[in-house]
Amino acid sequence: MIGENKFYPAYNSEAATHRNLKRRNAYQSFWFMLMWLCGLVTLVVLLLVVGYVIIKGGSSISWEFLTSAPRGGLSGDGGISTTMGTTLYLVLLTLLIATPLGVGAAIYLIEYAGEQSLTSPVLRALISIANFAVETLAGIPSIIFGLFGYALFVSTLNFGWSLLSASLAGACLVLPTIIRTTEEALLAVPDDYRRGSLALGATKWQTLYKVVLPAGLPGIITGIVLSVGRVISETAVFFVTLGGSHRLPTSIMDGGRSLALHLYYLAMDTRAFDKAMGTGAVLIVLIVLVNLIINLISSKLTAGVRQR
Amino acid sequence: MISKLETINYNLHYANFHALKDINIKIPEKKVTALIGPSGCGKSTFLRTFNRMNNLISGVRSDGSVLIDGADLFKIDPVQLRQKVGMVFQKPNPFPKSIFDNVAYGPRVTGLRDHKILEEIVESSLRSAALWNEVKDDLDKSGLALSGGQQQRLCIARALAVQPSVILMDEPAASLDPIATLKIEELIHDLSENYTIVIVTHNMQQAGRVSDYTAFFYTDESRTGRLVEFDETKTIFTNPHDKRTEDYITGRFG
Repeated sequence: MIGENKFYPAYNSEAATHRNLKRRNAYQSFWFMLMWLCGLVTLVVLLLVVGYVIIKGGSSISWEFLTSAPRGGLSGDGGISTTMGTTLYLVLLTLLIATPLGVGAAIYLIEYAGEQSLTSPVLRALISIANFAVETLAGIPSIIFGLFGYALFVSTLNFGWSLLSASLAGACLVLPTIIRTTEEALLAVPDDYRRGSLALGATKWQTLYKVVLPAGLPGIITGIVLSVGRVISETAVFFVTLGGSHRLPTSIMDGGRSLALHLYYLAMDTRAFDKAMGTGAVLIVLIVLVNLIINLISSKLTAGVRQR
Repeated sequence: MISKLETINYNLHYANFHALKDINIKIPEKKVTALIGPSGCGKSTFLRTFNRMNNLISGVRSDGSVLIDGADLFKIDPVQLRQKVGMVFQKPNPFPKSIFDNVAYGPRVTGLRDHKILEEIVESSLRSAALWNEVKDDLDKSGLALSGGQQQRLCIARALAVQPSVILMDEPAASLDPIATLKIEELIHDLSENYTIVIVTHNMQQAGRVSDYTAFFYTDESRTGRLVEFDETKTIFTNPHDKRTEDYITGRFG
């Protein structure tokens, strides 16, 4: 009891302490309840959105819906097969452009920029501008990337509404994501590995590709998969760069429409609201799958860390 | 006494901070030399001079000469130098790879691909590091799955696989329990038959147990590290010339 401690003055009776404790416990229960409610509301809203789209859209999903092409025009008739194909092409081409650029830039910024900027003030300024640009780009609304892509790729370079224009614009959109996640993955690799490798007579490049990159790979892959989700769900960028053809593109100079874009056209230009819902349900399932893959990879990543 | 490593009027600065002043030392071949002294006296910095790991730290300048086998150490390419001068760190740092790949790492980066030769190198290195009997059936297991003491012996095996002539050790037992420490100390003793070993340690008893020669570093208020005394370990511990050495050894300060 506080009062019995000879080093401190007694400042509270036992009864008062007891009342105080009861009050503190009541406060705690109140706030916990409030936060529990917040969690519950979030979960319910999420389930409502997903559940509504899947239940509403589920009825229009059939094997035929998934495997036949949209017929085009205002009716919204037909399926979504070509838009799924276009989405796949778009994802592959975008990542083919963005991954080497983004991963390479991140490697330079983390592994080389530091020591190089020591010798040259001009380089140091360029590097800090690059870092600032990456951070800023990550927060720019996607339609800006669309407008930029339209101005540069569609019109100035004359690529037209095409997979190429859309992938280049999409690559600009996901580059900051890939650079940031790769930077974080590389920063998480302990310096002990780098020193250990250099001390064994490895060059800096050998250290990088034999030790640092394998150790950071799960994080880098997480960034790439994150970008897959971003491209699948993006509408604004592709609205102004991909055109709207409902046919499957046969070359990278052909236009097309991705799933998300198709959903937009269905909802805005046709009365086929059930088809829009069906497309939405397919999109949601795809995004859930992508997120599951991310979780799988990051749990593997943390398992590796735990072993250390 | 043949000196393997030698410094003449060696000075080192971190930016504006004079970390080591006028170090003159001749480190004998195939002996264990301990570097002792209070924290911040520059002994670890001095150790890293010999495999040029200080190059990785920004703003480091040095002057004076450092010789290895009589040749100017700074004229050797750092990558090539580190094949002659291996290093074991304070915290065991095996790569997140298999035990085999950890040991084979050094030979592989120099271009050795022949699996038979690699197997021989891995086995002999692990034997020299007194780890072979514990891991010979688990060479595919991750190096990170070993205990701390085993990890440190794996790191020693990894350094031996490059076939260096010098091994630098920066408090190699500081993060290990007493039993694992004892194993590392026995190992250091055995290795000194074939290798020149320079070891930094904070543990006086350890310096007394494992080393043939001891260098005592000390720093005054300026925090600039100097070499106070260098001699055979038994002289340093029983009959030091400098009062500061005696005070440090007997635990009167430090």
